Amino acid sequence: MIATNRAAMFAITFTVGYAVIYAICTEFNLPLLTYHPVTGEVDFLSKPPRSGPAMYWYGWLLTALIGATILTLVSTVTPERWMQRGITFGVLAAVGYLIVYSVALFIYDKATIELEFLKSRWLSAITAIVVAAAVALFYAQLLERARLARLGLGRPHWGNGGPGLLSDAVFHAVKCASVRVPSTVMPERRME
Amino acid sequence: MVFWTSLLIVHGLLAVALLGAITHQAVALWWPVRAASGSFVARFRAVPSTSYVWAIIVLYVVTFVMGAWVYTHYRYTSRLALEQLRFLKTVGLFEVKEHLATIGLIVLPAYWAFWRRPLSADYAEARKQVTLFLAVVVWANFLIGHVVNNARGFGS
Repeated sequence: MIATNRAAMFAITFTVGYAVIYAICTEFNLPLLTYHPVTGEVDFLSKPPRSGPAMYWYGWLLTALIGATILTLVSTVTPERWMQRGITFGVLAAVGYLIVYSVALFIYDKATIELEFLKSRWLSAITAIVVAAAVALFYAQLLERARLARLGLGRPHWGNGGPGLLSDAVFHAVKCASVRVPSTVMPERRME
Repeated sequence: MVFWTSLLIVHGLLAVALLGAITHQAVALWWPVRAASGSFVARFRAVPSTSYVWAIIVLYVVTFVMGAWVYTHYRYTSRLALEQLRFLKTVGLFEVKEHLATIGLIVLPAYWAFWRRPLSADYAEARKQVTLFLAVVVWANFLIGHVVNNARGFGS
């Protein structure tokens, strides 16, 4: 599917961005405001209940609305290659968080000593983000090398001090796959 | 109490209208009528899907806003009673409704983009999927709302 106009791109990006940010807001409880329905009072950011229950849902909606609007505006001025990297990173971070936090809770549950820090969502999130950033960077480099190799501009193998056999194997797998060469770089090839 | 009850009834009536519109559109899109027929089902399937788009968007937003309004009252009246009665599955079900309603609202911009005229062939499959998704969300929310509303009985 290809977004065929700016309005459609904006709407689709907003939808995806809102969904992602809303999920993060609910998971980490990041409301822009807290509503106390019994007293009708509104507090800025997350506040504990007082005189009855506190409602965070409206705050999550607002946080996600602002976040998605900013994300969408940023995406309209960001080059597509960076957008692809961002999406790859986001997906990896989300999957990574799910795995890391599940494993952390499993270990916490089975451990014979109290490991309270494993219950921290933030710790799992930071771990997942670091791993996702590393993998996304590694993957981006592989794609770039594959693209350059197809243009005859890159070396087919890593030089001394480069990553090991695994990265070379993955590189060749990526290279052998049908990596589409953007039409904008084709004139360079003709000049050779 | 009369105010909140009236609001809830209007919310429910709007939900019925939305349910009808989105069901009509989804059925017409996924199960289009091939040949003219006079049967009720064939006429149900033969509606022009495009004409429902704005009605669905407006109905969804208005129903959502009214639901979000009623929610404030539910939070410190009905929900507390449900928790005291240990109707925890019902309370949990309403939590699901809260998130489903939000996801449905989030999908609306993309839904609008996919249904923009002239209809783009690039979006044909996405249009079908998003419409079906929205229909599932609306149905789920309607049924959950019905169950939660019936947990204690109207007016109890």
